[in-house]
Amino acid sequence: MKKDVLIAGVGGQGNIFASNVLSQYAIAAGFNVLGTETIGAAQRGGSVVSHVRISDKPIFSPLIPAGSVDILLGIETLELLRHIRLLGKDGYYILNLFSVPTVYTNLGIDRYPRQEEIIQAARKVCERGYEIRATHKAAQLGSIQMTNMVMLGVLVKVDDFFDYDEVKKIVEKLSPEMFSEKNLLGFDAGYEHF
Amino acid sequence: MHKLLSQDSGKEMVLLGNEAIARGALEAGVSFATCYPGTPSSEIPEQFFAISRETDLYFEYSTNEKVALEVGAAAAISGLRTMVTMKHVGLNVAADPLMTLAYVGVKGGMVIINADDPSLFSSQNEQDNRYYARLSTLPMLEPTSTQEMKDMTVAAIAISEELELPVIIRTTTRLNHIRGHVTLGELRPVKAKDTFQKNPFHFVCVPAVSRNLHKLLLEKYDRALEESENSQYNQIIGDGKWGIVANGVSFNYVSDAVSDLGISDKVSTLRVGFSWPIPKGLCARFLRHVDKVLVVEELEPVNENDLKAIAQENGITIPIKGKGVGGLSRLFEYDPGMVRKAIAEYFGIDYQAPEGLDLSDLPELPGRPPNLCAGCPHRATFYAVKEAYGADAINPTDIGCYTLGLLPPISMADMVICMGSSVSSSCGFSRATDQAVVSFIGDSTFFHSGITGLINAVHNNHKFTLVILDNGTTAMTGHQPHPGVDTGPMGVELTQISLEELVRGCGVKDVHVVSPFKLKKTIESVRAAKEFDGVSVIISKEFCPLFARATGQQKKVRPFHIDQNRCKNHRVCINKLACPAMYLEGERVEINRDLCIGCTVCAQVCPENAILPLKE
Repeated sequence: MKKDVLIAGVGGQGNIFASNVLSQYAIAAGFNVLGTETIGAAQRGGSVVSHVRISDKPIFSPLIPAGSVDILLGIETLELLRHIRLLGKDGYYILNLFSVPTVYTNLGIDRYPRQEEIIQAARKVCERGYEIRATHKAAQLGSIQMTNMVMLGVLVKVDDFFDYDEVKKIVEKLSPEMFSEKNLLGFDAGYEHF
Repeated sequence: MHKLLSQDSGKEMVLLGNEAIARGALEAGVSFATCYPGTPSSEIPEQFFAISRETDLYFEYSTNEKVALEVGAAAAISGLRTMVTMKHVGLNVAADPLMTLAYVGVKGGMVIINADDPSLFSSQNEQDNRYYARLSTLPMLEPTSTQEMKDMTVAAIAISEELELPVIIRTTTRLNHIRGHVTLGELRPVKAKDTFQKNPFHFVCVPAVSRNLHKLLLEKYDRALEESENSQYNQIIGDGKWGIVANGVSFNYVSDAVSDLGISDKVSTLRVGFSWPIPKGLCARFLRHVDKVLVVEELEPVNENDLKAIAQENGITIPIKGKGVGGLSRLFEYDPGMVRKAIAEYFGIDYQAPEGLDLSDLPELPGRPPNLCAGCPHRATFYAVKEAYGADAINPTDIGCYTLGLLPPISMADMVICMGSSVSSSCGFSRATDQAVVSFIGDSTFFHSGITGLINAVHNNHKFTLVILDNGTTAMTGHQPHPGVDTGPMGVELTQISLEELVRGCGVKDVHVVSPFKLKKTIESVRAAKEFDGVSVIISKEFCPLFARATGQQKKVRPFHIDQNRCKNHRVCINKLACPAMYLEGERVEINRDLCIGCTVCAQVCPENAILPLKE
């Protein structure tokens, strides 16, 4: 049994927090966990990628090998496409329909692919995918900061490996007190979506 | 209580590699820690800073890495257990004390954490600092996991006290940012003070003393070699005739590959963890046992060359290869797939990489370069300087967020090689050419290594303008304090050194302190500086908005919008400033109100006054 989860987004989307929740859950469930993140200059608008490796066997490499990703969480549309090549043949993706333009797409120098193009391209690469307007949902609930929680809710719903009650407990435990209630709200909104 | 202060020995935690190192320091009884922050090492001192508020641990952000090592050296010579942390290029700055501290040695254990950055995630080069162990004759350890990052720190302090030598732990970005299990050990009581025992004929490195100390260092090296030969971190795994040698994170990739390829029974892996002195005896035994060897190591062929030399000394002629096999090169970090392929190729295993997905229909994906944040005062300063100096002036720049001024449309970076180089290279440019020179340096970087360049500039009568971007923090590495501020995280009080007084003290006669968000005045000041016949300094003072937000110093945010009736679509705002809060909606410029922090700079450059604050 192994779950290699790649979370791709941009700085400030709660990528690291989400990977922390998954790691803690898997450890509590008795699995080996190893992960790493590529942050670079993320605070200045760069991309953030987290690798979370969960297995019942020993894991050595913190990076998920190409073609071995089981679950790709794309918190941002372009970043999902950028990392979709790492998906395994039986893997699937959860895509947040939310785009963060780059400095050059803002300027009209680069072209940001249209959302339909992104959805089509993703579906063509991988048959199993879930799309959700997680940021929109989070905003409706009061803060786009909960985007990552909505995504986690979806993950727990579509993947039996993750137990609703146990993941929820971890979200509650890891959330700073002032965000705890909202985070759980976001988590449930994602869970109930599919 | 800080989570790393848990007394619960045996407890399992998930820690970042850098957190594991900090915990290791506590378990080793480290009571004195210094650093200059630098990615990927910065999270280690962050832990120390917080912990020092709750315990007897002394911690400081030092002015630069040389200072950090010298401060730490005195503590270790006085008998305290000490840790000094820095990124790889920081060790260049600290190389001067390092070389002779090796002669003098230490009394309390001292660990130098050196974080290399293969792939240059956030560095100006990807030098391989294993050479520093060889250059300084100091022992070096290389961990492979979070658990080892903690355990090796404890072991390194013990080795350091036994040999009376500083010990270098070399990590790489991938390990600093690894997240995994750690089983905690016991926290050791710390000795917060000790007494310095005078011994000038050991500690004062005049030639007569150092001649003896060099001999002593070589004796210590022989003992270090014995330790390395018997270290649990140097190990042969397996019994096969195919030899693989690996260090650091490469060892993890090798372990996974050997298991994935199903060749465990054919392979012997030599893991080099106590990597300097390289365990020559163990290596020779290994080389005699195997038929051929593949050396897997990121960056330089350091172990590969050593193994070839050991083979030669022992009359062993088996093939030893590393660089050039499969995709193994001296460039960038490795990944699991690359290592698996190289092993398969070298040992002639029939192996097909997993079939890739069909990516033929993917649209072209724009890159996502980092960018100055919305409301970053650097953007305003760059704009004002360009208005005054034009685009033709030479712009030496430095290391920090403002290096991003490299990218269009700002395009105001012509040279950077290392911390502080903006100032000194301005001296060279202004003499070697007739071009105007206006250079940029951050506040923290100026304190780190800009001051000596500025003194040089004044003393030697150079002519250029230096812009010091004073945003009140060390922004790029995560908002650490520096000598120009009076508070650190959590309100700790520090003594502030006035940048203006310091600059005047360096002999600069023409000094302007400006608020970059007041564009017109800033441009006037830069024009005046340009006219000055000598060295001028502009101190452009405005908080980093991320720092201001994090520390509750942010002024009330009032976002702006574009009055589309007034806007004549000149696009001066978006084309010259490229603020991430601005975007094109069809043919019109819009402002993202969630990102805009109301810095007003775009409103000031708009020729139609069409950018206005949103009504509440």
